[in-house]
Amino acid sequence: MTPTVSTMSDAHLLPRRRGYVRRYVLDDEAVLYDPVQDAVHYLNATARAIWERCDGRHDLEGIAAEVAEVFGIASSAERTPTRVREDVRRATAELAGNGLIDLVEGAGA
Amino acid sequence: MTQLTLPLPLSSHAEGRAVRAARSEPALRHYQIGPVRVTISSGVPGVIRSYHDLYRRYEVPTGRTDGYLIEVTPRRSRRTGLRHYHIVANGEEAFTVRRRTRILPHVEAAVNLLIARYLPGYLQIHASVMSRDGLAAVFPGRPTVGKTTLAAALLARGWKYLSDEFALIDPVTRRVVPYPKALSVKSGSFDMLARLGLPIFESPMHRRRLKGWVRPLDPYRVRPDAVGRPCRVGLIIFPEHGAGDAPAIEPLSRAEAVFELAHSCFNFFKFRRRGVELLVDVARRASCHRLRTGDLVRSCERVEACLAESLRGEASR
Repeated sequence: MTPTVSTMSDAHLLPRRRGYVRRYVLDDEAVLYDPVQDAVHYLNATARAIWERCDGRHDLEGIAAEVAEVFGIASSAERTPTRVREDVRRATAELAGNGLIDLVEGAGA
Repeated sequence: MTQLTLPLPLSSHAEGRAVRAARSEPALRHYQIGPVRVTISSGVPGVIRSYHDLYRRYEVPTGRTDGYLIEVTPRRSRRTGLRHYHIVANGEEAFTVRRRTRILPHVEAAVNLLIARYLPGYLQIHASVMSRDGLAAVFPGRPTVGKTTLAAALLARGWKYLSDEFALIDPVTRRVVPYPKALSVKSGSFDMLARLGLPIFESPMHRRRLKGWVRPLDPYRVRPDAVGRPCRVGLIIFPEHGAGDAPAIEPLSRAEAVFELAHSCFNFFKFRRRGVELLVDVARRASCHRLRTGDLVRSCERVEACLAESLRGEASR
């Protein structure tokens, strides 16, 4: 069964960008072009920050922690707010649903 | 010697033929409107004359094999006996209308269809386009958001006109190229635009499916220098209806503008990644906004304020 954000705990999911998706940065946001589906996607600043951390090495918790720090919501020493974790979960689910990232099971899954 | 008396002198017969020839219209005429070559062929009296009234400046002596052919033919239904007018675009039936008042706008619509399907070389955005001080303002949007009315109002205020239907972006120069078809103004805007001094009531009224009654506005009837030249995009403004409200303009991120432009393209599928890169490039150099239109004059003032700010920004770089 293909892992989805809802079926696996955050600790074991490693989102990874699909290599053929092109990213175009405009100010602090981005546009993605998927040549396989010939589709254009818009990422606001938060979604862009999440996308950039979908490198197959960050799990969802790690992405949320970094995004919270980047946007000044929580420092690295503080617990990541729940809403940030939920936002990351929702964003990665949407990116995966649109075929822009893969959700790879990490070690310890 | 007998005198042969003819019913009429031969010279009168010849004069009569000349007069009848002058009154009848040619069955075929060719035009080059911006990058678009069109040949109009019609067996229906008055059709070519109506088209020619709008586009006489663009007439050319011959057609081209890569041009578009629009044919208008009358046919009578065998079943009902009613006459219909068939508008055929490059050999394919595009529209069938019952009344003559519907022919001209559907001829224009048939040309637009062919442009969207076949015109090579330009990324086509469904938009009206105006220019001032060497910068183009592109107003993308679906039908009925007010693109044409806004364009006409800006024309009345001295802007130059490029199109009310297509923003044709040259992928090499990144400039938008004029396709200065006659503006197709809907009845809801007649009075507003007449108050701005536009000669809208001088044009005959036609009926178009989905748009209702329309009048074509030849930009050259407004000013002899009304049509603009290819130029860089300086403003991208997405209009939305806000009838009766005070107009409001707000910034739109360039990334979001690119996303919306891609979805307003007729031929994005032909450009694919090149299309995205072209739109990104265009948006990077433009100021992007959403405009909730209200009072037309104040909406134009908002647009002009954006342009002024854009020009100041360029001057300071």
